[in-house]
Amino acid sequence: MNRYNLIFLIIFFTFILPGPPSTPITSREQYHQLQLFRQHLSQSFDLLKNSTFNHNYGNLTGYMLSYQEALDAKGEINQTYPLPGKDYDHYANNQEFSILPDLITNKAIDVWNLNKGTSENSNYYTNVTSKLKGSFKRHNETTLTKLPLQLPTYLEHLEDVNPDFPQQPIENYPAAPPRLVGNITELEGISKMELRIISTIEGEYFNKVDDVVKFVRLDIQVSDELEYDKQTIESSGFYFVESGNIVTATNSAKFFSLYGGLQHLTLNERNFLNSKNLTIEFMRSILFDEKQEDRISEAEADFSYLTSVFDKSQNHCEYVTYFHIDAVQLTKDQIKEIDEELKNPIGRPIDFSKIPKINMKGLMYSPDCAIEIEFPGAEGVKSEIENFRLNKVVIAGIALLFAQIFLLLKQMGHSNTPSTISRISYYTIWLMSLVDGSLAMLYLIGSAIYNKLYLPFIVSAFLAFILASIFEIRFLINISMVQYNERTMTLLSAFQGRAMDDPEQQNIIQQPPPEDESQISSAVYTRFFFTLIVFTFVLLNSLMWPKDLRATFERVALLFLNSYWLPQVYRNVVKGSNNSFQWWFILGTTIVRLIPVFYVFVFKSNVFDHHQDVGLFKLITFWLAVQIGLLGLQSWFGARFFLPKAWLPNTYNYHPSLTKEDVITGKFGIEFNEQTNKDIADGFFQMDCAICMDVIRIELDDGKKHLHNNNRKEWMVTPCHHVFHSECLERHLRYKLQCPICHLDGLLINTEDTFTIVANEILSSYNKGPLTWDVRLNLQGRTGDDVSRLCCEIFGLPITAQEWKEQNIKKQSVLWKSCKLLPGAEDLIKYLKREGIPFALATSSARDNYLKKTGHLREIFDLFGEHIVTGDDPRIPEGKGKPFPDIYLTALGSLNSELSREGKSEILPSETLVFEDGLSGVKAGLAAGAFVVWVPHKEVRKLMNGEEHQHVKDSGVILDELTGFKPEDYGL
Amino acid sequence: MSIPPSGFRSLPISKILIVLTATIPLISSLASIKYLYYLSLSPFISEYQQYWRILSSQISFINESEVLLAVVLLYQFRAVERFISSYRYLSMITVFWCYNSLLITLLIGTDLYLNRLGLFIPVDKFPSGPFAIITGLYAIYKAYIPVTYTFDIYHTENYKITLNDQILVNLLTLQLTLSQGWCSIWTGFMGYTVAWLVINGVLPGLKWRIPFYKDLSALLLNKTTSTEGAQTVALSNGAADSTTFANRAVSPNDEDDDRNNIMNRDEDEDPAETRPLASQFLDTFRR
Repeated sequence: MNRYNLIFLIIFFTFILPGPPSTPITSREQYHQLQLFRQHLSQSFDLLKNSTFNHNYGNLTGYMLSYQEALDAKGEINQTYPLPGKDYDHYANNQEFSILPDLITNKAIDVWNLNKGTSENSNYYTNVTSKLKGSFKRHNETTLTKLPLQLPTYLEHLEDVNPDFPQQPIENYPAAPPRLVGNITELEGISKMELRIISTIEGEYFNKVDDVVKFVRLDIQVSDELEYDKQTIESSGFYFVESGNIVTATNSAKFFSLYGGLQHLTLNERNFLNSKNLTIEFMRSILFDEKQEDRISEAEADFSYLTSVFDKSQNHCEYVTYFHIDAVQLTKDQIKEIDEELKNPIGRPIDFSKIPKINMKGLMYSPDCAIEIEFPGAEGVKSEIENFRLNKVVIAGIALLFAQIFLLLKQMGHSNTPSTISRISYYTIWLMSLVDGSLAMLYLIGSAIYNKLYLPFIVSAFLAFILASIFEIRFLINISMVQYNERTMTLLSAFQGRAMDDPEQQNIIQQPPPEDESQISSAVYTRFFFTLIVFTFVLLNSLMWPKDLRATFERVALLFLNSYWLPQVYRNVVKGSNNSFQWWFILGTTIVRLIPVFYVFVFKSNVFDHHQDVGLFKLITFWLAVQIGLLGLQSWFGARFFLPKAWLPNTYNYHPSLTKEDVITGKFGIEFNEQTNKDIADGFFQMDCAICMDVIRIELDDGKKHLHNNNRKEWMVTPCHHVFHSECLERHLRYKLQCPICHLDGLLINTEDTFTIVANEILSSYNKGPLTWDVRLNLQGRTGDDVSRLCCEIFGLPITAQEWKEQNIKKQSVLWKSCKLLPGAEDLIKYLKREGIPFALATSSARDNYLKKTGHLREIFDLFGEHIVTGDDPRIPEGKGKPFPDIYLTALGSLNSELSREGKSEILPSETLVFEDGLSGVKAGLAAGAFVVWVPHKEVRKLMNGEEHQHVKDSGVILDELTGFKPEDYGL
Repeated sequence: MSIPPSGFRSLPISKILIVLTATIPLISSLASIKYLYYLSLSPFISEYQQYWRILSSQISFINESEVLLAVVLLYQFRAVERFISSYRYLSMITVFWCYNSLLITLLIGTDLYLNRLGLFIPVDKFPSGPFAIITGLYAIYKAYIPVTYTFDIYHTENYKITLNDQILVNLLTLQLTLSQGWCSIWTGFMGYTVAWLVINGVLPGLKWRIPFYKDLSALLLNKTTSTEGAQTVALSNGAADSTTFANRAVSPNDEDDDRNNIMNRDEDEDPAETRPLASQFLDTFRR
């Protein structure tokens, strides 16, 4: 596993997999605490059921002391019950009884508009679920006293009881006081509120007095203007539909608001009774079982519930809030219609953009931190309307995704050949797929957050995902495949377009390790997903950064992500080509990708709640226009028009003028002999094109006459010095960006590839083929006649074996001249010679072909001396080629005869090593009783798929390359 | 049942109709705008005055089983398109749609009047989806497409049921018509009646053709008609024969097609050769 995979897995396991389902109880003490906690909840619930407005709170955690008592004791008093001499039989809205100071109570009464009535035409919304934005102001009251709130005694040591990790107080370094959540220090700033009406729990409707009071949750986030210090307060409480009033309070282990405390804070008896009954129903549907005399549900009130309640009480300021929602100028029927349409749309003629927004104002007070916050006004739109707008935007996004998929597929259809793909920049598509991939992730998260819009979100996520991870990645893999070879070149040499075997480059260029498609695609996939996940995490993280940092990040990221044409401009320069993408793709993609930016930055009231920033949009548009402009200029004036000619190294010239010297020195793989000399005489040289086997007439440059340019365009010289017809080579390069001659594999020399090339060429001329490796495996090691006959039979060619052979030899002989030794072969042979180890060559090729194949490699093959047995050797009986052992035994005989001449002892077949590449040869070697070193072609290896080991068993090894052979292992 | 050649070769209208029948509900559901296809007197017409619903309610089915049935039926009805040419097929559908919309409008007008008088309203709810058009196409199918074969199902030696190859189409149409209860039944019946009256010349419209169809089809269906045109003619050859034979109303606009057919047939076989009716029918479906 490579490093990317590992990091990817670590990230995956850390973030994606869920944690343990619930906190387990680890000690007897914790179990005891849980029991006490359950008892405590049950007692508090009883207290709630028996409470009346005119009686005091009683033994309710967090409400045992009134503000007056705390004021009298200057805060130096603990929550105790019963307090000696306290009047528990009465209650009034003043600080004698309430936990709130009179100052706050009076302000609350003011906020609630209790002294005003409502008119016929102004009513309150029944459904107020919404997100609101506004400001806040902190009153710097120093006169208010903190009300001491303590945990019940049995919970005080909840944290310390874990026996495994005893807490060690660090003496010399007094711990910094922990951050107090809700301790708002800013004097003013912005507030964001999320108001939700809870009417069902797990699909069950619990509210019996729905038109009077509703259970609400209110999350208030306050922060300074730049959002450096964010505080979130989660509270729950009641919304009184008839008056538009809201009261909520936080809940924790030291502040049991919902068990009677908050109900008293509703200021009058009617509200008290309604909210009390609602709370009882709410509690029964989540914690207590009504059928079993309100027994507490042990599954719900488990240890993790305890710890969550406990955590909320640690370092938290508790809050009580009072809000009032402004009445709207709508009749009750209209409000009902609106709510009904939002819940269950049937197309009522309601213009949702015109219905009044929700306005809310109020205050918030913390008894234990003595903080008073005023909210002069917050405004928001009903969540359902917001969802409708979001839905429209997401649907529009789906249309854009379809458009992008369509454009990309069409472009991929246009760039389907290696030469067209090689012009396309990897990073252009990579940037696009990064954006689309992160969009898929964001959509996926969106589908989890917006339950109502699950369907459109999940469809968008799916589309974005297939766009990014199927189409775009596929394209990236194709591009990597095609551009793989060149990436091992230095950029400089690509830029200068030097020849591959330029002597200056020799040291730099190294043969790339063999890599196949699956390796490349897995590398592309891992790299892509790794980047994607990191990027998405940064993106999600950035949402929580302070405003100014966020704005900077947004600018930088958007400019970066919108630079997708820039790599293409660079690519054009490197490749010197000027038509990469189709123009409709460039313009279409730019527009499709610019529309969302336009919506977010130009529309003031966009659904993403993003501030208007026309400047940034103009900047991005300008930046894209510059990039497209560059592409346009490149296509008109050439890819490198902006670079001064003097700086510009020449691109490789495929149409050089050839001189007589070039031909004579044999630089171009041309055999120089009398015949060719004669050809040269009249200023022309004739040679065969290895692709069409037709004659190339090359006009030689003698330095005197000016060569006709058009004439020179007829042939092409590759950087590896092979000459072809321009037309032939271009046609070939459309399918494979390699020289047809020298992308040449076999054991010692790479004749196998030349065989394939030639056989395929012949097959394709009869509309047959291609030659697949399963067939090849059969043919390997057979003699020429056998191969010809089999080929004709297998593919049903309309020619005789003889004709096949002739065509084959004609074509192959051209290619064979450029056969190279395989890695390790030369070293091995020289090593054997040096060490004086007897060795011989046994090949199924006929003597003729053998000579042709190895003619240019004489110095190596001469080392074999006389010990060469070819397929047509008279010593081998007819029909006894590989896989029969005869050929090897003959070769061994040849060696032994020399040894016996020198008076040395003969070698037994079991003492020999046979090096083989073909399966039939391996069988032959094994049959001869030798130890076989099998070096199969990597394609064969893939095909055998692990079966190969059965063939050699214990009497042989399998190597990937001859270089892997260690003579020391065999005592050589 | 089996009507070779299979697929949509040279049947652009059937193809488009099936694609739309399947995709419009999907897109509507995704965009949650299915409510645009609802139509009932109250509240949409009497309270909200949303008269556009008369047209929109015929656009799309809103539930999956109806979509499925409609797609299967339209696939079967493609034989009609092959029989009467795409041009006539589309024209017929348009004519049916106009008649049905008119009838629904009339019904709603009557309803409103009755409502004002405080009388009983016979038809209040209308189904969502082109029920009337499907049953209209069924009517053409029954009128134009001959039975290919019949088969018997024996209960006992003496008691048997004789069925034909159109049984599936009959049953599916019945099921589609029953799917929304009373309102889809009468709408389906209305569609069938209108189509029957049009086919039999009681109501005008059989000879009406969509104007500019040639231009439009050249614009939209360019590829389908040009590349497959030759095959179309060859394939619809037999169908056209039976059209003329059955003495159906053939408008002058169809002459081009017919001339092609005849020319094509010239190459195929001797025009003088007379084939019995049965073999003509069989040849229609053999090709």
